[in-house]
Amino acid sequence: MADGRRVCNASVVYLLETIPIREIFIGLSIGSRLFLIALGLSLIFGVLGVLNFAHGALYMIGAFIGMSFTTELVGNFWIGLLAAGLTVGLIGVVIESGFIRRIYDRPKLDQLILTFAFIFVINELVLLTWGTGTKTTPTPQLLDFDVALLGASFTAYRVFLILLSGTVMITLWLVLQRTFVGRVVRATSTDRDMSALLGVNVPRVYTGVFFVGSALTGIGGALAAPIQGITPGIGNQVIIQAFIIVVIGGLGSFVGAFAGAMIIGLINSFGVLVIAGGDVFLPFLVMLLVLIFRPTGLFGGGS
Amino acid sequence: MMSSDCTRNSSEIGSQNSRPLSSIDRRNFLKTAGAGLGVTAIAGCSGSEDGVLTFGCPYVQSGFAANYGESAQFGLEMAQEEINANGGINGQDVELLFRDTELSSQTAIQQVRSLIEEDGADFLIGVDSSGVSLQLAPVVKELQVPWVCTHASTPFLTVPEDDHEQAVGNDYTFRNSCSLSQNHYGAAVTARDQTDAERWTMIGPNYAYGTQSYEYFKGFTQGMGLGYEFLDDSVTLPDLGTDDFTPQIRRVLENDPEGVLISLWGGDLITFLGQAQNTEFFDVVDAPLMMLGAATDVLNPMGDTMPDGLWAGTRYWALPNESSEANQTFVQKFLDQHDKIPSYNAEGAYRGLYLFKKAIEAAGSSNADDVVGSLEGIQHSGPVGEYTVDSDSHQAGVPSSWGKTSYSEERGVSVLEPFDPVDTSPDTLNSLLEEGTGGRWPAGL
Repeated sequence: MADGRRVCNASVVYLLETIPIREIFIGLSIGSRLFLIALGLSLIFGVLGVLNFAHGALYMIGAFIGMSFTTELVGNFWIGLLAAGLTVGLIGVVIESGFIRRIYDRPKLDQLILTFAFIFVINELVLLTWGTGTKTTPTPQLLDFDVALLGASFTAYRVFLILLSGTVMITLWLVLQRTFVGRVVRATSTDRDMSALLGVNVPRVYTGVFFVGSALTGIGGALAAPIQGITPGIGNQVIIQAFIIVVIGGLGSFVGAFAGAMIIGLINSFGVLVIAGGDVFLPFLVMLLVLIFRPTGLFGGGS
Repeated sequence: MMSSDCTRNSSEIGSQNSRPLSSIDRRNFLKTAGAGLGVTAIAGCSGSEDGVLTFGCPYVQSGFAANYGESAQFGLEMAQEEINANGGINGQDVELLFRDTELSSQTAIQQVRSLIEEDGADFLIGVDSSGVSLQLAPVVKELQVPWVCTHASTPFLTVPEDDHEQAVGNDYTFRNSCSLSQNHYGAAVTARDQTDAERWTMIGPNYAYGTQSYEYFKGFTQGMGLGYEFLDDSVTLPDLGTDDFTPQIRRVLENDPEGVLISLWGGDLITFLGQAQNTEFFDVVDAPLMMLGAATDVLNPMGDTMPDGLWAGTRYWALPNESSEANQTFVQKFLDQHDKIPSYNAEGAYRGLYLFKKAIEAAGSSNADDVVGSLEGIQHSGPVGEYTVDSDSHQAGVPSSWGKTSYSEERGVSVLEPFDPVDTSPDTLNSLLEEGTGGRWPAGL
């Protein structure tokens, strides 16, 4: 019995020393931050068929709002998180109902150009509002400690991000699959015209989805603020990663967005250890391979 | 019934709708020609002919690096105000025309051509990016407009173009700010005199500045015969705008370095430092050297979160142990106007305009070639101190600023205490790099 316990303990120790737990955790935390942005992008595309190039700019607004509420306005990170989601969601409503709605029936290129134009408008507004310098945000006190996990030490904030992304994923899946609202959204994304004929207020559904997608991105930006310096233009980098994720996971697939985000996060974590610059080019390589061998993404299109 | 108007003969119609050629007469020709000449004279007029000297100022004014352009603008506008209030340059007012380079060579070239060919700029003062400056130098040579670079630090900007395959230095290109080679000589001296580290690696941005950073540090330390071991396999070059450096930190620490040269800057450095403090980085690395850790665009946002006791460099330090009157006046005025310590970019731009002033007044003319001749070998002083612009390389001999970070309650930001500026003699730098790199990497002095 004692021998068996010793063998078991030794096996566990061996596994803990062999499995790169720290790198896996780092990858998952990176993926968790990217997931919310990719999820919002995928949600908007999956239901509305709109590829929102301004998504990264919305992420940037969320980061600045989160920072402002935490460091300047009310001194509370959690209120800032809520404010970021609501504000960016409302901005999304304005963009959708005021602009994109008018060109749904036009060629996709018009939508791309319109959302691309919003990038420049939003970037300049952010510069005018918050100025040019880098802004920093302290980690919320509630999560400002280290967690010992499987022999390694991690910040509680990163553990929180991983748990949050999983929670959001499960919640969204349940809403879409098990609620009336979810059925309406899925129906509208499947067949807009039939849904309208069946009495669904399609414009309201579209606006609601754009609100949720934008709000998720805004929250993603606010969650990023304690981890990185916030500068004008931070959305430019993250939108590229978000697009890679949704291509890998499958445009319109929420499970795909989750899986894609975690894959990219892990590539970022391990890639740089394998080869210099691996974190930069390996995601693109994986995207290319997916486009060639599985063009609809790992989890296909649709929610 | 058709009006008789419609049956008028052609000659009558012709006489109403046009005049015979003889009526496009001497009077009208002279009027038209005179008007055209007048318009041309106004549009194509160089500032030096109408009481204004126009300086084109291409800086980055958008995106994540916009604060560099903004601080340069602050410095230039301060200098402009002072100069114009004191009679201008040779009695001519200074006009500044700012343009956004967007950190893009193509955009910068378009903007510079527009500044010179359309707006009649007499001189150029700018830019921020080393990559942009290398592309811009041949254009400046083509347009024959004197240019004082106040930020971009690549040594190849001030190496004569015939002396090295990557060099772009020419008659019209000058630099008044601390170059990469000067700054990294300071890093090498700091590493030698202030640390015991002998196993070194680097983390820096993935473009010319980052790769050259490592090569110049290696070159100087090898030239000094320090015998350092360089862990090339651990060198990490993340892209600008990387939002999570934790994987890169893991790579850097892989081979257990004693010293790490950190040439990240701005927002990237802030993000890196914040994340590094949550890892074992500062426990493992005895000697982190931050090339631009004392730049105010890093110190100001970090506030009391900047770790104490780290060696940090910059290209100009506003609060030296012994501050000249010129520096004190400049710093105080900047504080009064902008409520923050001036950055090296602000000081470089401010001093750059004064450098032009001295050169133009010494030349007695704003003619480009006269000013170029005046700038070569000119001795000047400003907040950074006294310096000479080398006649051959056109590089200013300014010191490399280094010190240890220490949080100041009074200022609400970390300062350098002690502050240890490193003089940069061209002979010393050139000989060390010749010894350490076999001439592969020139000093640009």
